[in-house]
Amino acid sequence: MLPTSTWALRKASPPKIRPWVSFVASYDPGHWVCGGGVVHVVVAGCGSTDHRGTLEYPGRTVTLEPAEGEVCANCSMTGDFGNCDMYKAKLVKLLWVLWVLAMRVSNITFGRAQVAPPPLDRAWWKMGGLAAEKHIQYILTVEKRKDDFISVVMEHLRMSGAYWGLTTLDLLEKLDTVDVDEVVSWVMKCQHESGGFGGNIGHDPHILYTLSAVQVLALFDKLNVLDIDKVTNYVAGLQNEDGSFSGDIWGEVDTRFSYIAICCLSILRRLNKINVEKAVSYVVSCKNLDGGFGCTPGGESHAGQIFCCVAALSLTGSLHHIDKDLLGWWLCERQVKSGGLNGRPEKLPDVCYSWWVLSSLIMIDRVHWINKEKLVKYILDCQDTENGGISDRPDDAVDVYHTYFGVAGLSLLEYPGLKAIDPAYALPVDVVNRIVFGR
Amino acid sequence: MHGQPRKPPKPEDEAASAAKAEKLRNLQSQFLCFHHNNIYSKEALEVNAKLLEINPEYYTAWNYRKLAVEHRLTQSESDPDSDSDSVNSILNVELKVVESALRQNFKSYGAWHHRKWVLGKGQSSLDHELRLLDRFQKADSRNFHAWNYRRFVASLLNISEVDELQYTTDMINKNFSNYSAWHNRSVLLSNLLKKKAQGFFPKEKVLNEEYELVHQALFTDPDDQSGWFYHLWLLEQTVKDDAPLLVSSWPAHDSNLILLGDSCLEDSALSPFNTFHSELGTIPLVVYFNKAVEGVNSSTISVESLLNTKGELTWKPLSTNNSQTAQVWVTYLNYPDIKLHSSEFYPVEVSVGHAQGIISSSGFHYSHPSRFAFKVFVRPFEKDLAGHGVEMVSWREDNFLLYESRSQESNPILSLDQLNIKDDHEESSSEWRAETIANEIALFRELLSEINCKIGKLTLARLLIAHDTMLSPIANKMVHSEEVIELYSDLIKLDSPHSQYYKDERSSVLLQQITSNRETLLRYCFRHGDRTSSILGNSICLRLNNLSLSRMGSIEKLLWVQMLDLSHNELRSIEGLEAMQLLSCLNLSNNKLSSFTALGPLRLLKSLKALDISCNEIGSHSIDTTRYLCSSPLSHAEEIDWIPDETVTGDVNLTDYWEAFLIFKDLNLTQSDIVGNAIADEKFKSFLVKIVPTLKWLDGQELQLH
Repeated sequence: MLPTSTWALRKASPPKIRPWVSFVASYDPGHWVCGGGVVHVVVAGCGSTDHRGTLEYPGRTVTLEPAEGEVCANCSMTGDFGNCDMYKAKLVKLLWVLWVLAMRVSNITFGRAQVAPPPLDRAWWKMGGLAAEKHIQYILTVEKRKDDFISVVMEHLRMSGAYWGLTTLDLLEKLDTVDVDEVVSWVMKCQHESGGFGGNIGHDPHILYTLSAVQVLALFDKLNVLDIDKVTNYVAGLQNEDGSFSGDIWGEVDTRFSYIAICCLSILRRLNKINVEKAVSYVVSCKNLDGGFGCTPGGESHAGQIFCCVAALSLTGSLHHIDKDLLGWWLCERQVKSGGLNGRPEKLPDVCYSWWVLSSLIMIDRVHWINKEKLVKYILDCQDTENGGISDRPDDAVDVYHTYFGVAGLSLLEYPGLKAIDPAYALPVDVVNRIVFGR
Repeated sequence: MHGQPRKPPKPEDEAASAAKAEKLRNLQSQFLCFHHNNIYSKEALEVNAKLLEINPEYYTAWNYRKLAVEHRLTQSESDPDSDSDSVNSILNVELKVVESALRQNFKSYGAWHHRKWVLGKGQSSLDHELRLLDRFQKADSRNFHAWNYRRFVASLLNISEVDELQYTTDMINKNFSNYSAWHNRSVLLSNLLKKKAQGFFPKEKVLNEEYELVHQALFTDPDDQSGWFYHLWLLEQTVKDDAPLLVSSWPAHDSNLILLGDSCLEDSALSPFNTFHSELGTIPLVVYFNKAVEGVNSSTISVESLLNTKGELTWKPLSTNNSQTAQVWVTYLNYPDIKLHSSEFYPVEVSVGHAQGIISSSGFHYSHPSRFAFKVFVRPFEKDLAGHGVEMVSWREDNFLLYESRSQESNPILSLDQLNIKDDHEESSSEWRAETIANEIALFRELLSEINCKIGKLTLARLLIAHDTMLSPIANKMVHSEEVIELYSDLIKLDSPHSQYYKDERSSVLLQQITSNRETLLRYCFRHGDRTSSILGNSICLRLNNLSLSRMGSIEKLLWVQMLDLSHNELRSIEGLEAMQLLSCLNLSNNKLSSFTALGPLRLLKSLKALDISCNEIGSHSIDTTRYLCSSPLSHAEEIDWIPDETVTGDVNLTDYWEAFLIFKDLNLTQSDIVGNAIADEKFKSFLVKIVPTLKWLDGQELQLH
């Protein structure tokens, strides 16, 4: 019989008296200290550390001094604590939830990261960490908006826009708000007689939008509307003699297209239709001395390109070509002081790298080398909590692209309430399982 | 959208935006109409050019221009009045359209590709291209499109790599904070070094100059990352051999292996480190290289022995994703079929690399032919003990006694030194290495005395490790290990967001320290008191528990280990453990393993019998970080043979447990502990019992036999 653990956080009415609170860290449940703002989380588990990094042990005296508007909370545990390490996993989760709750109250102190309280006109602290409802509304309205300049400029990549928006909705468990038949029939109208898809109706076919179309259909479990062989022939036909892939008949070569071809055919279960060995060796030929990858041999490492190459190698079981420690160090150094990630050394952070860098770090099992909490905070800071959507940097204009990468990044960070996403297929894990394991 | 401030639209802005949108929409629909009707008139091309000037990302418009160019070139070919000038003028228009599009957005993939496509026709003059590039690279010295284009133009113009190297020098001298320039430099320089181009051989002098260049960047602003990765690359170039090297083996050189020895063996002349018991009827022979190699087979490694009577040996790469490249390779020597004299030693001699064929993944040949030898002593198998049956292995603390070694016995570390292959490098080269590293160490100590910076500490730690490794490339005598560990501990505090990186590095150093000599290693060797556990061929347990290890390392020195306690650490992965082919009992309890796929290396351990993974985080995480490091249907590395049998699957949906199925189906475990993982409910346990029919104990409970 496993021991059980319980926990809770109590929000107090505005405190009148703020006494010093002393308690002895123990295995006894029931220590409650309440204030009204910052939450200090103290875990009374042997071997764990408190918010200041001090080691916990039974019998240690903990003194909490809540300042104006602070909450001090103590997680309580019941059960057999003969082996506290057993609870590490649970405690991490619990800290996580407490932390999210804390976001609703106000800013949070963790370790040394003390951040100024948000200005009053920033509404996120009223609504909780992720403004999920707002983002859903934002995506649904952007989808309908067709008349402003931005929408017209983006018209040629509407297929990718559909993939970003719909995947975001699925991660937020709101895909059912979309009219499936409408989307599917629109997608199919973008297919060209060659088998490839264009970015919109009447636009030329390109491998970029072919993947987006296949991903959108996979989200809805509608791959059966495709002539799989036709799409496969289009993609396989773009492989060049050296193993690389062109984006379309006009011959632009880039490792992005290698990933796209491999991912697309993996979703269609037709990877055997290309020369995988040559495709892999081309990707490997784009590896740099810093461990990263570029567009073509000799091209500079860039996080987006690294994602493409790492994912291409993942999907073909070829990760042994990567020096995981070297690439991992380069990638983890993309995290800047604000907690956000940049895409190349000495560049500004951008929410989209929450996807490119994070997914790459996950695929090579080095994601623990960055500080996840700071990154979560950075992404949440880039939300437009009034009108929904996420931008590249705090207070910039939002778009669907960054909204998707922000939400997908949070999913990779195991943010509560979001579906898990697969780092290589860039689709929700349940969709990938359905494809791969036929469920 | 990047870098646009978020602000509520003002009414006048909205009106302007609507007007702009209207204009663009008109252009787009006019264009699509021309495109769909294959109209390539002057008017159509002008509409297209206007469209691309506003929206260079409109890829179909670039495609259309290419169609138009081809159409007009065909026309001019058939026109008797046309000359090369008319072809040129067609192409020049294209170059101009690209230029104006790039002025609007010089990150436009479509525009850059169109320019390459036009130049690829081989009709245009390239003189203008470098000037254009200079302008763009001045405006944005980090634009990777421009750098890619520069490489393209340089190769069209046959500009020498030496000249391009000079260009990167100029760029760096202008502003050292230019990672793009450092990157291009590393590409060019490594090509020149590889080709041994004039002035770039020997590499010593070249590298010294590069060190000086990068020092300027690092010491001017240690927080600027531009030079960090270049310096690390130089360090690699300085200390690493290109050619792969054999670093260890099992059985070790000069060892006396006692085969079929039981755990009661107390012959003082024999070391328990070398006793080995196998039910499989084979002895594994493991070779461990310093880097992944391919081409290990019976012609590149010859084994001479009486034991191997069954013809050619088959070597298998120990790779977790079924690749044919691996750092560690294994083959199996058969037990003698003939009745061997039980009191004799049978010599085995292994020659590695006397025939060409062992090649590193970067294409370098194994160039240090080496030979190692060991003897096998076959001890009669005592039927009584064998029939005694297997008992549960207990990891209880009071079962362990610190191992007291006897001086005369052979030890597992010493033999590694004897394996040392003669270094045939030139004296001067190794002197240069030592001098360079010593110089670097001095410089970085100086830097740190002036400023407390993380790159200084990290580089110093790396340099000290490189120094120690150079002193003894195989035995890794760690002179500086204490200092390095302290540096990493400082870094954990100094740069807390990356603390886990430093923890991982520290764990590696700690393990190098522990395994660096016999005395330190023996402190972690225990005699397992539970004499009845006849799973073990010997009774030595290596206990690396409670050391805050976050990753494994130094496995090349632990190939002899049959019982390993790694409990109460912070391990997230057990990468590399697949090399420990003798392992039969493994305790991984109380670590941070978060999924079954993290146990992928265990699939290659055929003698594993007892596995404790209790109190980990399996089932607690929605994101699996080892999902693609373990071969599975996801990575197309293998398919799962689902067992449709209802009695096996019961009411369990196999898709929920595919990871566990993948890991456990090939293991012949007799005991396992999984309690304390979120996934380990009753349903899962009954699933596990069904897919591992050899299992006798689960979570300390004896299973009822069906």
